[in-house]
Amino acid sequence: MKTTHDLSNSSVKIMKIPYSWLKEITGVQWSPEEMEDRLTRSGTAGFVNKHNPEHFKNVVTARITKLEKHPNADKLQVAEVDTGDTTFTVICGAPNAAKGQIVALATPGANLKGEFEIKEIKMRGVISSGMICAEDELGLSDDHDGIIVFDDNTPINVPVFEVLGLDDAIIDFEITPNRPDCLCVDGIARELSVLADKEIDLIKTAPVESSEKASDYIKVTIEDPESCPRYSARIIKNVTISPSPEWLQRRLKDCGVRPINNIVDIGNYVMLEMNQPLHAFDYDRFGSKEVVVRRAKDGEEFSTLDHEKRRLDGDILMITNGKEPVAVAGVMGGLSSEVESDTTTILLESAYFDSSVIRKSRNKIGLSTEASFRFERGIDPNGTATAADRAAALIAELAGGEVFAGVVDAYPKAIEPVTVVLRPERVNKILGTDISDEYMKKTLSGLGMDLEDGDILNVTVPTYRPDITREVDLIEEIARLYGLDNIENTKTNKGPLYSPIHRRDTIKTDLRDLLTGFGFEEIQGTGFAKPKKMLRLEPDIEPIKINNPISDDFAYMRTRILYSLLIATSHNIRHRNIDLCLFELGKVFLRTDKFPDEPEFCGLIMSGTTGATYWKEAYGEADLFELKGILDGISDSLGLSHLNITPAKLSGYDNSCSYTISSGKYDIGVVGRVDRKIARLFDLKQDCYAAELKVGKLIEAHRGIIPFKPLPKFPASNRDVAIIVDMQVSAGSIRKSIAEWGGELIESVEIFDLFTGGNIEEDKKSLAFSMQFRAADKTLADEEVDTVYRKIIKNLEQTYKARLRE
Amino acid sequence: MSIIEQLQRIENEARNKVSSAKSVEELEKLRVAYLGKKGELTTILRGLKSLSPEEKKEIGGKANKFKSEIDSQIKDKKEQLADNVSTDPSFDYTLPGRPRRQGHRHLITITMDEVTDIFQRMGFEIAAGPEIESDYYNFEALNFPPDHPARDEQDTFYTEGGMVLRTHTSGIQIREFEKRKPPVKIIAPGRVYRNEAVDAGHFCVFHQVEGFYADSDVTFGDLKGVLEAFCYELFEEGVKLKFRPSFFPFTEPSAEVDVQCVLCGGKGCSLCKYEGWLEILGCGMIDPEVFKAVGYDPEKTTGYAFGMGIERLALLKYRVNDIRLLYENDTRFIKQFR
Repeated sequence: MKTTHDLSNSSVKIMKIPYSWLKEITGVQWSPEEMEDRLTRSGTAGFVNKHNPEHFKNVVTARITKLEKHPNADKLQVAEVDTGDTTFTVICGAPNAAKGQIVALATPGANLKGEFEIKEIKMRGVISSGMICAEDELGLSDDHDGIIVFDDNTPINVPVFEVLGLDDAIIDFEITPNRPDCLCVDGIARELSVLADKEIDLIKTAPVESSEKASDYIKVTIEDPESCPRYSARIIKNVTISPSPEWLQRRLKDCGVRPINNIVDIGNYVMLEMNQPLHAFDYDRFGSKEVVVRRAKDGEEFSTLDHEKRRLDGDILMITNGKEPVAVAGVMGGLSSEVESDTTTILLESAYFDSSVIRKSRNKIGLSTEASFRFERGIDPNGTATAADRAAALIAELAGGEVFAGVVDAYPKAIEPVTVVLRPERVNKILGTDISDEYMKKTLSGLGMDLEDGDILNVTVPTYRPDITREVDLIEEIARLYGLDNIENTKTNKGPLYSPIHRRDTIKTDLRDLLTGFGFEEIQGTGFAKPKKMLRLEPDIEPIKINNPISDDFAYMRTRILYSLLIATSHNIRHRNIDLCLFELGKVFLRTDKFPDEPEFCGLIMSGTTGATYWKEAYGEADLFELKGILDGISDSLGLSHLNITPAKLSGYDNSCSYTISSGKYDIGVVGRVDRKIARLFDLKQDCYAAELKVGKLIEAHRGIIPFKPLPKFPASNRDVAIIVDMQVSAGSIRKSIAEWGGELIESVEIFDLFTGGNIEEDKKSLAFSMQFRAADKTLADEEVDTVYRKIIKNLEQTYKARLRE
Repeated sequence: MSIIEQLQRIENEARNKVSSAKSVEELEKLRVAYLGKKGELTTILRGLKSLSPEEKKEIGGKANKFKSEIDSQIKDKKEQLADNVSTDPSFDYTLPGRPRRQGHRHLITITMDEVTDIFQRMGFEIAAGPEIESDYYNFEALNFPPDHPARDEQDTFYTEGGMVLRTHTSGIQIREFEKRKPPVKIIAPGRVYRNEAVDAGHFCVFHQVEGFYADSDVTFGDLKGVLEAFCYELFEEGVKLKFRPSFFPFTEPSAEVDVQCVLCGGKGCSLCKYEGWLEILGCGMIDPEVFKAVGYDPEKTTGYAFGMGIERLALLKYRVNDIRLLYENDTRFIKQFR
């Protein structure tokens, strides 16, 4: 299961452990699925992976008895492969194929990975009746370097499923960073032991030692004991470097580790088993009889095992031979002292390094390894010698070595286990449970803790559990083993009575309801912006830059919501959605001296047609007035006073059509036609009209509660007038004048027609107004209305040089 | 023909013509023809002068009755014709109605509203915080020490001046605790950022809802109860939950919550990747270190916190297979949700 975007995307390590290994050391007889479930419910999330035997049908071991070049293809070979009773002719392209090898042969009828059926086929004139498989073709790994080659003594004509022990399940464990102790088989075994209530023995056999003393061969000096509290070393002589036995290779492969040779493999095996990273030096190439642990010198250089030359500095902890570095402590060894095929004497390092030092080292070097990962999370300082013993015993067994007597163990100041006080009633107070003291004690001892009884418990925590330092850490242990699902759910509501609802939140809901009602689709921009476009759109604001952006498109934080509206418009038009009404509610990001300012905006954009297709009439095109109508709707719905727009030069908008919007004394935002040069920058060829409203100002400009106005008791009288005026005279100013001239009696003035052309002069236009008159206390007589009407006409003629239209 | 007979004939004729009239105009003509100033009835009544008072009375009565009956018959017929628009041959009820262009909230908003509504009804107040955050509020006060491995996988975006784009909404916990005294019961919805490789399941921006409650006696059982009620509302009553112990620096004990797969009911399907469960949120008891950072006494105050990814809920609910669709803002996508 994938991690979600939850509270914290904590760093999770996937560790593969074969089910058979866990079963072997714990004796717990649960099925893989039950193990998975029980461990998952106690905090060690596991996922069982099994191979499907159907996918290995007709895949058997077979020997290559003949190998010749394909007559018609340079890169292919024709192999004869013998299963004992049949010989198959198979075309093979693997570079590592050789005569005499025992390989995995898929014969016709096989269905590899359930998706690839093997059939007899003709390839460039030669019939191929099978396939010699690589690991990836069988779904064992991603490895396609070459075909699988088995040991020479592997029997032929045996199902590969059996030979590889694929009936074993592999459990993938997701280990959270607080549980370094579970990064190994022994750690998972300890969990199983508590869950299954079964005592287990994790003690390993100690090596048989020779009479020669290791301390005569090596000395350990720690110059920086804070960074390296402990360094344990062993010497093993007369080893023979060779491939590891099949069982060991298999286990490593099952754990996702590539086998190298017996010494390296044993190091990895013990790390997987006990979570102690080990390093084997070639003693003869070590260069001295002394290990010195110190900080690197600034500018010092060192070649790591991966053939990289690295420049060091004083933050990096090094293992040296007293003269020069031999390893980056806890991260990676060096080339000069690497174990090679002729190595005979091993200097085995089993050390404990401070986690933050290793973190710094590997950050500086830019190299994270299995070892550094474990040191960073914290291993057991009191486990180094035991792990060295375990590895030495295995080396003696598998590489024929002679283990010198004693561990050379530099441990200047022993790290003692911590004791934590636990109040049993506190456990139940925090969990809301009624767990007995006995259960708590049993669980904690099961986890390897020492308890000193009393009203409160003094709990001594083993040093392999660096995560437990406080009472609450112990409470968590009890909770997870008791089972979170066993804690009873509270059924009633708790908390404060008063939980206010804020206008900051509800205004957004109001705007969304309104704008979707007006036919606008809501979008969500990313908040990021591409530098070049952002600066062209808004050259006057320096955006906040991201130091480590995903790509150039996400390198700045937007300073204008118009940016995201244009991105979305561009996307839609590219996909032939050309009639658009879009809006977004979101923040823009502005620099200040301290925390950036993050004002919230409501951005609107219109392009193409604004209505929907209807058989009775044509729909409108996006223009300033369509958008003004929407703004008036917002203003009315949010309880603002009438909006005014004033021409202004605004970046992003066309100078001939850009305006600031105000409501009373409040500066609400801007509206206009998007500058065509800017539109082209976003690949937009059609005109776009946009508005950017400041949500904060919309809240401020709210007029509050406006008292009720009584409904009129007397009827109104209406008069219309059509006038011809100069083109430059604005309808808005005439309307405003009419309202003034109308005095108390005029109730409303509406513009109902604009006409140009026809029989009207080129520099003139015709405007028609509809006026409504009413008195609060009586029915107006026609004469009274006419008096006012005539006054208005006269004023229109005088002030605006208006001519009445016939 | 006597006047009575004439009257009778006109009456019959008028009734027939009115009842078979096809239009309002025709009816109006009939009314004028029979009842108008120069109409037939008027003409007949003019002849009454020569009759005896008894006859006058009898015929007058009949004539008035006839007049009012025909008049109302014409009115009825007029209404009937006016009501019956189907007589217009061009009328075609299959033509579409006038469309009102209807916009749609974004799927993220729809899901966010649904989630916040549920918690608001449980008495959580809504709080907000900055998206460009300090290291202190995003990490340090939440018990992510500098140099702690738990920071590694947070995939943080940094801005100039050492600020971060918040990786979670959890920083709002700290900001609100600093401003208030317990009890504090809040949800904090908001946008967060992670510097992750973008693919079908991951995007560099997404939304979270964080919830937290600190009071004198808050328990893990309370947390479970709240989340169960939430899932009952969001998914369906009685849906099963699984609490798996997990790790977050700012809660202890911590858990991840799986809900039984909403599609297969736990039997296993492609939605739940054959696990039977869907991971939907993280939660835990607020770590004492967090309370210490905001000046609360962890001995006196306990609390829980939980957090969930809105996009994940939305993708699960509507089975959208690519998170990137949410930020492309294609109207053909947006219009599908309501």
